[in-house]
Amino acid sequence: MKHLLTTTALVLGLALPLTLAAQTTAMDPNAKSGGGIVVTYKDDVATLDPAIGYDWQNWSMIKSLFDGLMDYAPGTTDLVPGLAESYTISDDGQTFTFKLRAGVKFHNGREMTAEDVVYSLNRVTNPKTQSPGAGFFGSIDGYDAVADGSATSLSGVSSSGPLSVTIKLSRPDATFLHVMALNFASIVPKEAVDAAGDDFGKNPVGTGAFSLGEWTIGQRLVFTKNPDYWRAGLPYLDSITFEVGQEPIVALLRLQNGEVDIPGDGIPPAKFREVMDDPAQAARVVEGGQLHTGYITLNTQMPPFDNVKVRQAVNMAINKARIVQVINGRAVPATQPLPPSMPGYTDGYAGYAFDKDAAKALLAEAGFADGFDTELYVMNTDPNPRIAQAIQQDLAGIGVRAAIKSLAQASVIAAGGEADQAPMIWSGGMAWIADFPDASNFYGPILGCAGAVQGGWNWSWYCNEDLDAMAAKADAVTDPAKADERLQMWSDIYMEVMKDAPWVPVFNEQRYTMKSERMGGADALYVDPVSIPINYDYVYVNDVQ
Amino acid sequence: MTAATKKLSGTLAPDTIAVLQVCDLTVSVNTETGLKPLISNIDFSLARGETLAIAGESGSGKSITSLAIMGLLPPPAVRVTGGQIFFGDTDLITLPETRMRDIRGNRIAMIFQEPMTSLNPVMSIGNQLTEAIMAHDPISRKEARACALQALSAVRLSQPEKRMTQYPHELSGGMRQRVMIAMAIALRPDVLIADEPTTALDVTVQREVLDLLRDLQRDMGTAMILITHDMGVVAEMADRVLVMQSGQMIEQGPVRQVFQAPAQEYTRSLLAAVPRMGDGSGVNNRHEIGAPIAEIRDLSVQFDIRGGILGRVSHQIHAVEKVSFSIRAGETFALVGESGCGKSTIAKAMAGLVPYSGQIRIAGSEIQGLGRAATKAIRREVQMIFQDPMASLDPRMRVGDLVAEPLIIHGIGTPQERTKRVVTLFDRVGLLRDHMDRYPHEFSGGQRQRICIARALALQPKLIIADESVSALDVSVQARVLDLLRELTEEMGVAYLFISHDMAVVENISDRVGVMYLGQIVEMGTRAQVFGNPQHPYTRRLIAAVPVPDPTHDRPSSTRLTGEIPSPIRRIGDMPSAVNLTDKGGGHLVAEFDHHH
Amino acid sequence: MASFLVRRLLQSLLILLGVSLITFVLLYALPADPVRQIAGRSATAQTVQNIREQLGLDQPLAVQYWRYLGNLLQGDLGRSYLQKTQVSTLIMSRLPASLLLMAGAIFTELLIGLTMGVIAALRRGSHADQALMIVSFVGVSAPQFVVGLLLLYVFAVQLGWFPIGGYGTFSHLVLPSLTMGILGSGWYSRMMRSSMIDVLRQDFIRTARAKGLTRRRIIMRHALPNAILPIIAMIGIDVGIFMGGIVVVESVFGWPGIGQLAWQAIQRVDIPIIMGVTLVSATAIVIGNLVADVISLLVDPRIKIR
Repeated sequence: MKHLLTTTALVLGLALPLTLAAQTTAMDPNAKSGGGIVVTYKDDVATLDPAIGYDWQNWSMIKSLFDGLMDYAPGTTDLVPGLAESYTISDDGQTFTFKLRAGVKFHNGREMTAEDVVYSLNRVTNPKTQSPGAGFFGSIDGYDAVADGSATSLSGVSSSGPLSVTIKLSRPDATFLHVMALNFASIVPKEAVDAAGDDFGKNPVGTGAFSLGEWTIGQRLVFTKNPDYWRAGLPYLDSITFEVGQEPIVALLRLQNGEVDIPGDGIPPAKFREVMDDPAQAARVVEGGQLHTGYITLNTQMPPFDNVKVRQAVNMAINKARIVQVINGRAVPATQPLPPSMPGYTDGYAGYAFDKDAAKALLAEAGFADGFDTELYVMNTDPNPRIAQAIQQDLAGIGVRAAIKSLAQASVIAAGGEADQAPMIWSGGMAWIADFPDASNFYGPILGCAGAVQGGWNWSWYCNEDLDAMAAKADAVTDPAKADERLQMWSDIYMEVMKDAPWVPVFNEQRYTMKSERMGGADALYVDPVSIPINYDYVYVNDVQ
Repeated sequence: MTAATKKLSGTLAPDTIAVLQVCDLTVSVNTETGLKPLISNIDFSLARGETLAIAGESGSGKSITSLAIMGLLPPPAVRVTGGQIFFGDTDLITLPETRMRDIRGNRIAMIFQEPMTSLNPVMSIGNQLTEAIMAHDPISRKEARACALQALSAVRLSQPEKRMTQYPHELSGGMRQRVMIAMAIALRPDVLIADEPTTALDVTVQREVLDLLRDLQRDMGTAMILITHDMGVVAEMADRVLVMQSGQMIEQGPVRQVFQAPAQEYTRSLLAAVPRMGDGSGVNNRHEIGAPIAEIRDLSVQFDIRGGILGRVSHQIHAVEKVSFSIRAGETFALVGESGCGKSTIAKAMAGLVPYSGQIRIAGSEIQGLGRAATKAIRREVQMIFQDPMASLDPRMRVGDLVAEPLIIHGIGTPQERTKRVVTLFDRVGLLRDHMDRYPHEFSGGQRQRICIARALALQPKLIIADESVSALDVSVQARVLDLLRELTEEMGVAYLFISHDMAVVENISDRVGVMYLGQIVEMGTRAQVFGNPQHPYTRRLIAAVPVPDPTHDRPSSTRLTGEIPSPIRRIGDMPSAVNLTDKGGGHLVAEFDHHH
Repeated sequence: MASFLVRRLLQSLLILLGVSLITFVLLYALPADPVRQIAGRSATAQTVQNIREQLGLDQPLAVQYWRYLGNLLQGDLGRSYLQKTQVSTLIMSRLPASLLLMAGAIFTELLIGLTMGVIAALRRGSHADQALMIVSFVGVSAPQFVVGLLLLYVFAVQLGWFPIGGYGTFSHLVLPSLTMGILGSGWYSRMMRSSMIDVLRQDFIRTARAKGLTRRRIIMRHALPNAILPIIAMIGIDVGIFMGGIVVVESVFGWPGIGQLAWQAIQRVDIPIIMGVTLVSATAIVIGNLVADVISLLVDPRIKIR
């Protein structure tokens, strides 16, 4: 049986309200075309090459310059076809055939074809490209040969006509359509890549709603509207100016002065209360969830954290509500690895409640009635050391004496990648933000056995073979009709994880996007789960005629 | 006011026209405990063309007097609190600063003691001169330069045009003092105040400058106030002398009268303390002279000057060149010469402070190439006393500890024994026991030098090197320190290497003398030989240059000395010719010289 | 003079070589692995190994350094690991802004610092002197981040005299220069004060007074030129201090200089950029000191070239 899917959305897991789906096609009736906005960032943009860019700053920018075969409905985690008009999945769930839209043009004027899709996937997986996202394509047939250099093209990817692409997988992969919505799967024109060579990241050419107009390194980038954009009527804005090198606190001053529309780095922590206490300013702040969990890893291979009772005791010792206060309440306490807005989140699970006495009792049971000495690694930028101090105090409450090791980000990451170095790590500043909105994304590299290797990201060094098997089983469920069943399996997996307690999930950060008065569009666009800070393609300004 | 006016009429001789009149002058300093007078009730007048010497030891207030006349007292602490200073009819004390500025440098000019630091180092000589002229004369820059050039010629500076473009560091001390004089006389002032104008200069240069000042004064009819501590200079230069002590005027009168019949006890003691140079026949030291304690053979010291891209040695300063002499136990051997002649370098070489070639044997062992322990043992035998006692005493240590320090370093005695030894030493050098707990700044210059001597004696050395040890002291203090040194030789048999530029002092203390010139000894012999029968022209020149503290002394006017000492800096490979010393009898060694020179 | 310059340039090259070696060794001794930064979280061991080989990071340190030097001699600073752009392009596009800021800052700190120092020295012990020294102390100890924000808030946001950060016109330059200059002027005013007091005690000042010169002329022609000599050497050292402050000030004012580049590169362990910025900064410091020496040489007749 083949599932024929049209432009109506394919949804994994979430019951899709029709109204939301309608947004993808229906235009905002209040939207006005024209005008430009100014967005500021502290850091310069590293690259706009979709195969390379992997920080949250350039992620949304690349999204507006490029398109992949799949996309998300604006403001949601709902998958919709992008450059693919439609696609079919084979019965075994291992062959995907995408029908491409006709007449889609790159910024250089050439029409996109199936060959470009094949080229783009081969490019991103080629080790020479050094793409940090190459690993996402591991389920495509022939990936291993490309990765080890013995082949230069993916055997599983082929064009079956000018507007048709077939992709064969080596194993069932329920997340594959999400992968095809990642920036890494963006379609790039070969001639532009060849012409720019290594500098494609500075001279990007895509099919997106905007094209790069100007880039003055260290000062600004200007995106200009793509008049030939395949989504008719979009984008609304004529241009977006990204001014880089702006301290968040200065960006806020300029926003208040009417010079900036979006402070890309958000509201600076020091000014958060001041802004939120002023009703006029607070009205222009949009709050939303994000696919983020802040957690403490407990190294399950280092005593005494090899003892599950110790790990559970630590879970009970942490006063999460108080830690949330440390960051001005810009988060909600977490009970489990998945954030609440992620499909697969276990509703009604209370987690380990804050209970010092129970924690002490458990610790005594484990043979540590007098506590023990340990170390807590933390990244050295605010507010993480302050959070670490709160954790340290909570631990002291049950007799655990934790020394804080406050280090540069790269050093903490390096310590986490060693089996016997960091007993505890507070993940702040390096925490997991989902690459794509799927429950599986919180497991593999950070809780699965594959990540528990030297240089890996599983800093708990937690490896449960049974759970790995369950995860593989869940991700083999590719039938959209069984999506709920798959999500339940993932929910079960995370509940099992919580029993073993390799983490202390602490909080899920909330997003607060501030905008200028002139900006229009649904609030959801300003807390878009996949486009941080905002979805540039759909927002507009009110002060144009 | 009335009292002062009365006094004024009293001191004014009817036949002289006073150009400057100081009446009942009192200058005080503001201290925490109120006004404290620095000088009080100073009275004198200066006639046109007259030279008045103000003589006195340090702290007598002679410089304060001159600064008060110039209106240059350091504000706001020090100020005139009484009396008047009349320049003609004008009272300078009540004169506003702008009008005082017109007189300063124009009608009353001043020359200072330190020629090395009294000129702006980053301004050319020409500019400094023309600036002084243009500050008072409304003339063009060109005219001012012509005037400056004239003044430089007047002070007999060689190549005056070239000097105009040079900077102070390119000139020697004597040349700089000539520039200062040129600056002072350029506008033909009525009064010239010379504050110790030759004290920082070598004796031969002092001679030239004194001659110059006298000639200029004679030619221009300028009245001069000469401030000096040197009674020789007073005797040679002044018409009248005013003796000061501790801010008080002691005695005033014509020079001959004051020298021959001093009315006051202080003047008498001051004149008695002045070392007088004779013919070397003075009282012989009574002590025994024993075996050689230090033997120096062919000692040479060179300093490298690097240049070029690679920093290779291109020139060398031949500071000491093949010098040989020996010092026997109980003997005082003096090295005398002008600055830069290499005498202090020899001291440093003997103390192991500079590398050298040749031989230095102390108590029979060559000091170079000894082991650590042996070197330390040798160090005990040789101690040094320097010119500036303040700089050689750690200001944060009690003087008792300072004297005990060498004992501790060499690990001698128990703490009690050391304290006993320090007490004995303090007694010996004439310091009190309760001085031991004080700090160096609480002592006078003479006392500090005694502390240094006590420290040098702590290890009972065989040889003390005294490098200009009494040069900075007042004559009366100097005399007492010299007496102490002499007594120590007699009591302990310690030998001295006495390094000095002061011929009179050397003649008074030494048994044998070596005269140094350009890194070499040009004449060496007993005191009687060198001072009584000087053979080398340089020795003669040195002796002739010393001002004699006797107003009746008639200086032979034939030897007017000019010219600069040649440079000891030579290119690599360009060795200076070694002098040949020949014995003129009885161990009186004299270098061969060119008779035409 | 020529031989002096040649010698100093040779020395400078040696210094730069030393700086490059030390920085290189330090960077590679870091516990952080740049390859993992490049490869990302989803990378397999195979991918990590591939990237390591491609970048030559699997080679011994000596080999890597030798290669780096070889490229450096050809003017090639390498490519950024994460931006994949020529480091020289990144630095050259930002260097002019930093140099401009440096010029503005040095001008400001000398103007404010020297004026304050001279006034304080001339009125030594007065209330004005004490007030100025307190101001300079505040200037020295105030964090540049705070000073920058304060100036920005008062003069740009409240008064609107200057733009709120950014780059391009003279008015953009004023506040960042002032922020950097306030710190420096604190140092310079203190140094100038003590140097001036020292000079005013000198004998040649007394000579100048005895000549009957006006106070103004004594200060301008005699005291100042001498007092400023030790300050000149400090300007060379100041370039080094400046490089430290540039990171903060550039980020407050959105000034597109190399400080921000360096900061980002350090965060991301982008070694070629860190190396490049370090070498460029070291070059700037070396040149700054050389210039200071040459100026001293020109204005002080006592210094002889050997």
